[in-house]
Amino acid sequence: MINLGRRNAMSKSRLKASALGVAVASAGMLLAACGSSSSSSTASNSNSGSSSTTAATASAAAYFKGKTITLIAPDNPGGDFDLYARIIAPALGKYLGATVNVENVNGGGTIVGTNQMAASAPNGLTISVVNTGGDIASLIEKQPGQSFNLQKLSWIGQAGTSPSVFVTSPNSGVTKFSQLLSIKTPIKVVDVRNGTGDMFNRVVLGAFNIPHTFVTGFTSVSALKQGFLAGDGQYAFENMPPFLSMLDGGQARALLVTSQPTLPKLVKAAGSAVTLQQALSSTTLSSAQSAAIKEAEALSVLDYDFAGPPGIPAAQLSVLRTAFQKALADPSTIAQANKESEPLGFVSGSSVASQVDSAISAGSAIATYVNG
Amino acid sequence: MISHLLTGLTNLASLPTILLMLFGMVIGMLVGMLPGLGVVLVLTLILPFVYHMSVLQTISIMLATQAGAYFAASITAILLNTPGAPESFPTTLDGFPMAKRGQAGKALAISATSTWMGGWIACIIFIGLIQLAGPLATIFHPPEYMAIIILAIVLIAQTGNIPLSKVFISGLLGLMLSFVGSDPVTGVERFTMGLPTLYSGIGVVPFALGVFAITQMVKMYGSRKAVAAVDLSQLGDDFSTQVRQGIAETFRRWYHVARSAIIATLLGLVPGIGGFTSNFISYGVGQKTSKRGAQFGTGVPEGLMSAEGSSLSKEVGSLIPAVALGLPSGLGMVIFIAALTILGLEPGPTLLKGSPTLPYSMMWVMAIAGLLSCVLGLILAPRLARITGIKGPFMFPFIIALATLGSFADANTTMGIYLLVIFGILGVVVRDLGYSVAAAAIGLVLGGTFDDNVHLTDSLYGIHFITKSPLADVFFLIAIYLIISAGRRWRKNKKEIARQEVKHPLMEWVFDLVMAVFSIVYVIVGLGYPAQAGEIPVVVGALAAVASLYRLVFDLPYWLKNRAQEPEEGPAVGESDAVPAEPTLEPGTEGEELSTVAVMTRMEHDEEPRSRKDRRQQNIRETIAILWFFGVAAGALVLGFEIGIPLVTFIYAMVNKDIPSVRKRLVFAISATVVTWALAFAFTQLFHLTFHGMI
Repeated sequence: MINLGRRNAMSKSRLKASALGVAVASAGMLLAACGSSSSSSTASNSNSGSSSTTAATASAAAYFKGKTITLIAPDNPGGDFDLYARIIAPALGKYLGATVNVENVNGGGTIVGTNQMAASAPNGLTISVVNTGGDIASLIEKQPGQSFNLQKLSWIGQAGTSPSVFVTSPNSGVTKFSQLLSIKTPIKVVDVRNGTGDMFNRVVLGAFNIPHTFVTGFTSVSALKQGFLAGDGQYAFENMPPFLSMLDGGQARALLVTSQPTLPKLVKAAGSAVTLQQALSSTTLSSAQSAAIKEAEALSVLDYDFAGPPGIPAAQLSVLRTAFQKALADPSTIAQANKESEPLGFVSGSSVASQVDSAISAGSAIATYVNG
Repeated sequence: MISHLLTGLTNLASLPTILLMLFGMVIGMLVGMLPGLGVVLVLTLILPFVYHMSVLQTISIMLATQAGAYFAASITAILLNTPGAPESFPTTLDGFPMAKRGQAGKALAISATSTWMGGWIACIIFIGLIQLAGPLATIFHPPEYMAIIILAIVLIAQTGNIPLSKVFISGLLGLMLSFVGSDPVTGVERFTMGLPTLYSGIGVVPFALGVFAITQMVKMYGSRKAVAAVDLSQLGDDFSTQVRQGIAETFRRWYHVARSAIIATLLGLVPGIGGFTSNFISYGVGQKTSKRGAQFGTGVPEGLMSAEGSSLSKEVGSLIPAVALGLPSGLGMVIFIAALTILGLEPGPTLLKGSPTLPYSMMWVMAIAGLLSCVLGLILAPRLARITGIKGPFMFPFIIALATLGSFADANTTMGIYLLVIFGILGVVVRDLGYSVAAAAIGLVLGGTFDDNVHLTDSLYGIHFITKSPLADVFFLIAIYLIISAGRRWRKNKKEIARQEVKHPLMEWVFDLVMAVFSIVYVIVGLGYPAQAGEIPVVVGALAAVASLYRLVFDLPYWLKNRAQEPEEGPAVGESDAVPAEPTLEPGTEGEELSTVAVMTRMEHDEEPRSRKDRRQQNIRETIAILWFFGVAAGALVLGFEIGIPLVTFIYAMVNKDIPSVRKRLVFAISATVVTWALAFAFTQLFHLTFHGMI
């Protein structure tokens, strides 16, 4: 035990000495609080004004060497966006010469993570996976929560897209999607508000006139799966990979897939489910209904896009895009994606930006359904 | 099944797997002991390495990390009143008072033995239930989650003799803070004041470190005392003897551990309940069913057993839905499931069918790592217990440094440090005002889940949930019964409770005023949010405003009247309970404990500030301690962790006249500087928590 020494009353001089020392440091704290926003701009300013010249690109490439990049996955570990982020992060780091750390920011579908990315400094060191199609649908739905402008984000590229699946519980008695077209009693559907699954729920069920009620309020796909298994709702519409184990294990039955899967595990899990196109061609729908479904399909292709906050300098964005493209073509990335049944498919950042512009400026056929 | 059980064990018998298990256990213990460095952070850091591991190696390192962390998290809870992980909060309630009595060795031994024993009981339940997990998932629906959260809050709110209105205000404050940040359903930013660093909300880590660690250190600096309020050299039993006594006592009262373990394992089975709730409910049920339940929170071994019996068992229980259904019970299991997914496995029925021995291997990892970490803990306990003999001014720089680093680590943002400062000050200010930190903590942790499940319940059934959920109704009835019985108890002890409250009547009144204004502003801001994001916060804020106004208006004359009766000199009324006395022992308890109590009581009596002058001097020292705390935080923010914290630590040590000899002061300064630099280096380099300061 340490001997404290004298325990006499503290003299005034001691008080002064102690107080002086800490007062200096405390003043520094105040200074720190005031200047908290200045640090991030330094890095970007040092590279701002760069053009697409080789020299500027080389300078931007050097900028990333040895840096730590935060890649926000806007869902929980094990979620679809997380898996894409973790599949690509090592190779992205390799081609940038940087360390890429995946950070999970879950909530609001995927909006909370994207909000956080969009609010970060535009220095190329914070990027995220974005559920672009779902976010556009939320925008059309006038859902609150988005504090970012999709058209202003710095798009890096698309990593891939996976089909969504409409599933039912085995004890619902429904084995085919066509059975739902004549159903009279509303079906109960679990739903994560915001996102691609939510969009498909509203558009497909609405356009095909399937009576339904939504059980909303789930904060993640994991919570949604739990609600589905617990019987809070007997139907769900989500991306396929998170539902693989339930489909394989017989806890869920696929009724409809938005596009024909290609990866063997997904093909097996889809079973005899019809595709959206097949359902569309076998049912008589109005032109507005068909247009809404086609628009939802088109939006769902905007998935697993990588982006940074608005204002990343062009040269740095160019370096990020090049590294991203190389990362997707890296054999280790492809092998890992196959292992996890996550389809890869590169789309350039500039193409994603154009698609986003087109999708937002185009007329909205899905509005009737998503706003309902 | 027996063959699967044995194969699950023998599959682990390879050197790399065993080494990874040991490595995970040690890492888990280390992060468990360091407040702020939660097991989730470490599991996240392990995740990228999973790509290069086999399935067995992955489960070994990840589950051993979890198993190691939970006993270790109780170490700082017992020794420093600072839970290493939020789940260990109930451990502070009885563990720390025992440490104050000089019984840290015994408390650590009870904690380690209970953790191990509870974990192994859970493993037996695991064997019985792993194949039956499917139906279990259908038992709990949103109304049941909502009800069990309310039950957990009610159970923990009853710890200690605190007036209902204060418990109510504390819990509501915790709930209000929990709503800060992005609404998890809509994504709407709530109460963030436009600060992106608040989007992820207020973490429980800065809160716990502020109200526990900072408050404790300020108090210890002010008093110059160690944690143990007794002179350890005067205790009849050395720490090694205490450890033996602790082990023996846990075995003798095994039923307290078994009860907690069974409850926690069953709650662990329910996806989404989380370890925090399980621990609180296990402790609360222990309090309600134990003979000495009324003395829980004052340092009774049964309380510690109830808290620690659930520590590992809840993790074993939560393995069942994770493996059998792919549904996590907490963030630790979320990452574990992610690791399995990365390896190409699909947690759920497919995994159970395809790899029937794997769940048993997981169970064995938990069992073995849990046992080894507790044995290691018991071996180290006598040495660790000596920490309680270190005087406040010497411990101060290390704990402040750890708290600062831990708060940053919580969300990898400087906002954690600012929150630490706010909660540190709040903790010091309200320390003696008699509010329930437990209720505030559980409100903060469970607020988000409560909000989600209220919305889900509304979406599912509306108000008709009352007729749709019999199990939820049972939970509600138990909660109502507990509230009514607490009300009766409060009325019965009203005078005694009132006497404890009269220490700082003016401060209390000012605090109530601040709370009332804060709640009203909170409601006004909340009304500006879309209904789905704003309605629950508005209701909670309105209740807090009403409760605060109630205390403000109706209690003021009463407290002022009591204040007039406060003596001019000597300890203020109620102050003598600063160190809780050993509660009356059950018949059959060893007589030697009484000598410990006698020593403790004498020392406590000797060391309390006797006069207003002493108290004033202590207040001055506490103010200086707060300024030093600001200094460390400012140093970290301005100069970065690796320069700022060691630099301020060096200055602190050099000007600290608590060490009269300049040479000794220099030695201490150099040692403290090196240690705090090493801590800062470890945090920044090993855990990728990069922050180089603003200059």
